[in-house]
Amino acid sequence: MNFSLSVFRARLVALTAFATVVLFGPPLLRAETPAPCTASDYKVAAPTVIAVLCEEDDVSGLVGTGKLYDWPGALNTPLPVDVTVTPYLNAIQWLILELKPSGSSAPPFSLQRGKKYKVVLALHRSTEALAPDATPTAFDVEMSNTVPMSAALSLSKNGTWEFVSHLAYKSGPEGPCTLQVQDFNAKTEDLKAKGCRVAAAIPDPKKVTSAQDLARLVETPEDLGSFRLVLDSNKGTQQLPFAVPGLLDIFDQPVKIDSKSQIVAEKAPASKDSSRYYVNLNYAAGKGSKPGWVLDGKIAPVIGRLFHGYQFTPMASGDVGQNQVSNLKYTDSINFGAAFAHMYHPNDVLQGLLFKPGITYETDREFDRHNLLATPDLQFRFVNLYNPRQRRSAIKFADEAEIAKVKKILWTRANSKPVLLGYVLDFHTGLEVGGALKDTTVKASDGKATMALPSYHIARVVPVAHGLLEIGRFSIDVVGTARYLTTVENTILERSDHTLFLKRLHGWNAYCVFSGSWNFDPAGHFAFMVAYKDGFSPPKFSRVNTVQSGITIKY
Amino acid sequence: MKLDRKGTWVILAIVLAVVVGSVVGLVKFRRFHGLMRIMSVHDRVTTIVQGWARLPGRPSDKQELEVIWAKSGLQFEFFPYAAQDLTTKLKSEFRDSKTTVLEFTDIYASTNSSAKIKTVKDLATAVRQNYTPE
Repeated sequence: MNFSLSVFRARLVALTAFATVVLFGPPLLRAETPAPCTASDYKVAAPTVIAVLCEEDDVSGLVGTGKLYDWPGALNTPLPVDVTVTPYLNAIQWLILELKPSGSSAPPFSLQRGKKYKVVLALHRSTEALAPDATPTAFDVEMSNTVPMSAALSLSKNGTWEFVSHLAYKSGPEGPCTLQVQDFNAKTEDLKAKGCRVAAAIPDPKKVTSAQDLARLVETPEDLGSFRLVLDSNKGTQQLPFAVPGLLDIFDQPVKIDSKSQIVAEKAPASKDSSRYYVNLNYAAGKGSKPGWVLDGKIAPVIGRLFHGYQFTPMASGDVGQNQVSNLKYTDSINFGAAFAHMYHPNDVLQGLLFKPGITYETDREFDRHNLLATPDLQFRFVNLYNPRQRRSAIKFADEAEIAKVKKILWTRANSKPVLLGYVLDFHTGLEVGGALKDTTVKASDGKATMALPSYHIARVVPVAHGLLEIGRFSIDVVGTARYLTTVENTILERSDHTLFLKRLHGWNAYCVFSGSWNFDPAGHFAFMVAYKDGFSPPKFSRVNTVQSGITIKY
Repeated sequence: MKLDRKGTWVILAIVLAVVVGSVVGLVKFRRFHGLMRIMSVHDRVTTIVQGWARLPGRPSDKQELEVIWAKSGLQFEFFPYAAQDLTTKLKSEFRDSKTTVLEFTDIYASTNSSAKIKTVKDLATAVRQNYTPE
């Protein structure tokens, strides 16, 4: 084992030295200029054409020549093939290699399936001569048609799989097809699939002999050797994928699927609900009163697709409690609604304008209010006012990454220390227009007192200011809502002796929430929160003046 | 020969029409010329990302979308609003696709950590996987 490893190393050293000598001639054994292309992937499009992906951002100006070696094999002698390098016409990170026999007396050449080769290229800009100290670009080509299968990157495309090969596909099933899977006993089963498609088939590989032929046939080189299908169900996914009948490589051979591939059922997002989920359970206490609990929750999942840039979001929120105490009450509001939202970019000062028309059904825990409202809302995002820690940390990381790139240090976001301070200040202007749907009867929380609540019209103007200050894991959040009632609204309030009275409201009714929280975890999903609420909030507009403390969960 | 008032207006109208027509024609030609240049899905995606984040040059494959957005200086949330904007731009670019090329919920963010599309390369790959030209 040690012997073969040392032989391998010796061969590698010999090949590298030899390639340098062959390409650039003695005595230039030391390369100083970095290679203009660092090969990161390749596609064998035809028996004499290879497409190469470079890590560099743009190699569309490169040309060159190269040599081909058997690997491992005759390391000192290149194959009698001339390699000509030209840019890929449609893709700025790709090059095309054309392989042609050296001289007129050389035998015809084509790459052989199952073999391995090493390619060594001397590249330069088409406008410049080859630099004498240029580093050659070298990479291995493995002519295997055993391919892994992997899940599509889009979670919204559940059940979509891609079979990516270095060898282009000649043909494959279109539309419905089957994926054969195998169990431990080599018993095969067919799984039904749909949307089967070879992204870029090469129907006649022998006719593809030049860069122009390939670029004309395939616009996107990443599509070479790509076959996709959508499984009808996850049934049988524990088994090993075995074959796709009808899928052939450019050598007209059936494609084998890598036995290490496993059709693992894709993980769904944490859940739509939980991803837009907020629960704040509080313990409340006030002067001269029994303590109680408050549940302040919100669910706003994203549903459906973008429609002309607008996203539909249903929403349910509530701020309700138990053991309401005299003079100190919760807003006792429950809202069900939905809205469309789209962020516009007006100019460099007002960088974001969120237009959010919606509809809301407004009630309370006793369900004795029935207000239906249209709720158009405008949110204004001015320049320099949206800088939470998360964003400032990302900017800091971007600056660090540029320096690390120059110094050739691998630097990730996990290595970058988050900044200490962050802040947000935004403003809303909204309307709440509608009315109480019908007359209702309101009951006292204790005793038998009841009172009729006449229906009324609603037309409110709602300016809101929101500020957030983050200091490490501690944050202070303030929401000030100055609600102006342009029409007279009715509400029934309860005195401490549980008698009821009708109150007519008009004009300003402000409401403010001032909260401080400490995150338990770095991601900020769990926090301890203390909140002070003061003012009047619909639909009851009863006076709220309370301090709450509790645990907050945000996703 | 002296032009009367009506003749002057006619000539002015013709000159104006020619100027407007030339400008419109030039713009259309430039757009058409731009369309003539066939680009790979990857290159089209990086061009869209460049415009979306107002970058001076094309982003590299390894750059994270969330970081690119933060650096862009635009003052609103990456997720969902900037991700929605990017998705809208990509849908417009690949409007000839029979299938939707991307949903904004597929884009990874610190607040959407279940998604898998994190870098420019991931985005280009996802769009390529979903792009089905008519």
